[in-house]
Amino acid sequence: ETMKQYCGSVMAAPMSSAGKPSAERSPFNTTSFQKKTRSRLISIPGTRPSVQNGQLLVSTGVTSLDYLLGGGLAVGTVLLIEEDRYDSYSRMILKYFLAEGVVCRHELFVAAAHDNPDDILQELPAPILDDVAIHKPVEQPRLSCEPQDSLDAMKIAWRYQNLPKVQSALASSSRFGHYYDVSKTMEPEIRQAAKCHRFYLPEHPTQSSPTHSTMLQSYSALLKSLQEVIHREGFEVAAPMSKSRNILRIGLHSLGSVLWGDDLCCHDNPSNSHALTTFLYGLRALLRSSLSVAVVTVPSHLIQDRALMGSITRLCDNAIALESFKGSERETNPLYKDYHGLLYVRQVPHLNCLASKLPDHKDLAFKLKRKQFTIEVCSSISHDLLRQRISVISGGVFLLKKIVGQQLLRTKVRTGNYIT
Amino acid sequence: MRALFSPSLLPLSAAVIAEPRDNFLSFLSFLRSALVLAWLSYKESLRRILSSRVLSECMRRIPLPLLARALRTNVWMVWMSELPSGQVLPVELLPPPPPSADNPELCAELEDVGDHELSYKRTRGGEKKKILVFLHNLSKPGLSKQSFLISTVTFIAADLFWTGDVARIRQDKAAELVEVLYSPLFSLWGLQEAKHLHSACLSGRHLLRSFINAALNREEAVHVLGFEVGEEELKDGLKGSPIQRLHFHNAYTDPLGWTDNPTFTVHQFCLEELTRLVKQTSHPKPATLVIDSLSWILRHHSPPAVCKTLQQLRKGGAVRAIIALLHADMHQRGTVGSVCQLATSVVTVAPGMKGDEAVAKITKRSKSGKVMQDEEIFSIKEDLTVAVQSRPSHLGPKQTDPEEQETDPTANLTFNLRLSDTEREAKEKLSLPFVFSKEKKTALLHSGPGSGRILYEPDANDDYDQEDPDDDLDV
Repeated sequence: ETMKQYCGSVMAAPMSSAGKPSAERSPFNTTSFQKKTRSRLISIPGTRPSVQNGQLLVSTGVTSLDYLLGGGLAVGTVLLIEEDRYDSYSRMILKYFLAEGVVCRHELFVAAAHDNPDDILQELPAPILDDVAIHKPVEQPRLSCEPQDSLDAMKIAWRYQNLPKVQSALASSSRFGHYYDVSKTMEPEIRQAAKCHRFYLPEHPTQSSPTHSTMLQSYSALLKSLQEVIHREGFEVAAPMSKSRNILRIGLHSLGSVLWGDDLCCHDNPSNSHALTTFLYGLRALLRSSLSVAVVTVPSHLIQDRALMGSITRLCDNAIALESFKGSERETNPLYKDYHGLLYVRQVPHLNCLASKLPDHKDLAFKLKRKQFTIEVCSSISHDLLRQRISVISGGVFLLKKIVGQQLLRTKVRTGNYIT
Repeated sequence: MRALFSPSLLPLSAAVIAEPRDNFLSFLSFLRSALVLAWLSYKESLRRILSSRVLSECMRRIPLPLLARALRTNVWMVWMSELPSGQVLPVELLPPPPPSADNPELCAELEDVGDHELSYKRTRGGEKKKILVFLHNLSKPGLSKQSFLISTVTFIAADLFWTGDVARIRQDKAAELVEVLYSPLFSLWGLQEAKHLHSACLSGRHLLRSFINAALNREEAVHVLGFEVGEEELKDGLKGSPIQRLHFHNAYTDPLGWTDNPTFTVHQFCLEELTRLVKQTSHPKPATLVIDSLSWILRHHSPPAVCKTLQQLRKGGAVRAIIALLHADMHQRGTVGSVCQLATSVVTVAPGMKGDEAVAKITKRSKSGKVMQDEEIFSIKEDLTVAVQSRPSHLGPKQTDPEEQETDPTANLTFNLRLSDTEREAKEKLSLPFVFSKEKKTALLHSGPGSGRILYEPDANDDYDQEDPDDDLDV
């Protein structure tokens, strides 16, 4: 029943009439069937409705991750990232997520126990706002490498010569998500333009009040602070439509780690094993009724209790896991030489539906290029297959040649016989 | 016998008790269980004994972390001070006693002979042996049959090492007996195995010592929280370096604050105390804090609390660097991982191939989140400088698979795929059918007004592969 309610509120998010009862429109609508019109969607910058189910989506900042998650993160949902061993890439995705929020003028909420949220915000990657100009030398297709001036450049497929370059398409108005240059950090002016709420655990003295709840002090303080921000800044779905709506992007770094006071990672049988799951229930309920979206990273490699990790995953809508090759024997494996790690999709959201589409590919890998973080289908297997196929083909050609040669010889002999 | 040491009674040593002499490790865990039990029942006696002779003896012979590892839990709470003779301490069972009294298995092994007297029968080498445990004065208030049984178990355990026929003891003789029982154990410590097993641990401490030395030579103040090595021993090792800037906080003699004036206890491991401690001595530069070892602290504080303190110290600015020794095999994997996640550099030491060599696996993380890893063989010289010998061969240059070496699939073809210059020339000359002249092509491509054109606005949703789909081909 609660699930149904959640779904309802998630669905309600994109509708502008959330605050108004449908009675206002009733003179014109005599039937309960209404034409779904686009004009009723709120236009919040940096969001778009999903092609599949009309859910309001925001970009994670990593275009390939958006694609993997079915277009983006649905507003009101949680993305869980299982950290890689040294938390380098999970942290990067979190920063991408926050940077995208800054560029889209969303509000941010950053919570951390290890580093000051300000440190995380200072490391946000620089957006490539004018990415058409910058991307051209990098992403030009082969087409343009060929001399443009001579028409003879294409001899056979010459009709294609004047077709526009498709690359420019990514700069078109329908683009979703931005590109970032991880080698640079975002300029402070851009960063400070975005409204950001910070939660740094050491600055929140947790009063030791005897509570009966299973939740830890740190988590309940975080949840309370989050609730307060959502209420104060009017991110609730039910809030009056007085001003233009915005999205709250919530980034929670390394939840469940020791610095949150949680011994989830330390022991096989943690004493407060339900603290994080209780928190996630609360977070989920909070998000479902507000225009907000959260990314949570968890050091899952330290959590010994797999069943517990399973229930944590279940409590988040999206869940991905990162496995960095750093320090593992896979680093030197030629199969993975082009990549920096593997990415597993643990869970995709089931929003307003019974089943959801899993990504087509099971073997996903990520790599950090000089400037960009991308997720790709691990192509090493197909690479090897291709190589095999080539050798098969060449072998086949050899056989063919032999057969034809013999056939020729045979005809020759036969005709020779004929003559004589 | 196994039933006696059922998991509920002794969580860690249930299986190894049966064959204690098999290897060194099981010997250690045996010792641990025996001592823990002995301590539970004869706390006051043991205190006296261990303080006076046995423990000091064994401290001299056994590398301390090894002993701590062997005993793992409570025995280190045995305080080594001399008690005034004749003083009777109230007997209390500090850690929750194992629920063994109602354990029928346990009772089945023991035969209640009489009041405070138990007999224990056991077979070894086909020959039955009997131990009579005679305990007087144990029926004090607060001492249950449970602890009575525990004390019995202690002697049974000790019996596994003690080949005497009958041990008949009285409480006033208990101290003597325990000493007698355990002295053969301690005499075993000269074992070669112990040295070998411990070499990695030793090189870890040597490395720590050379870190201290290096910091001292950089004219930095160094504060050492010494739980595992005494002041003299540490300073002996640092001969020749400027030790006037070395501040040793002695947590070695009284780690738990049992005397009236302890120098440093494990309970003082918190931000305020440590900052106060470091600020006491006025140095212009922030000091380096050396913790020897973190394992000790982790056993008395919860890991979240320890990690929080470390993080606060790091952010606080009172100390420049924290160097801590951690016996990784003494803690659960998650605890070690959590502590290591806080550290900017982790050096994992493993024994090397040769005597004084050790292998160090170094993981460094930069502020930008980049992680660098390295593996080196090192040894520590007399003057406490680290000599890096070489990289281990197995990690050396990437092994190149002979099969991987850029095989050209077109190399061994039975037909020719390449064109010579003359052939190419001939090919160029050939005019193909349906090839238009330049003029006609231009006319077709740049169609004038009135002719049809395809107007296509490329879209982001187009299934267009940005990268060359064939760039992974070798051809």
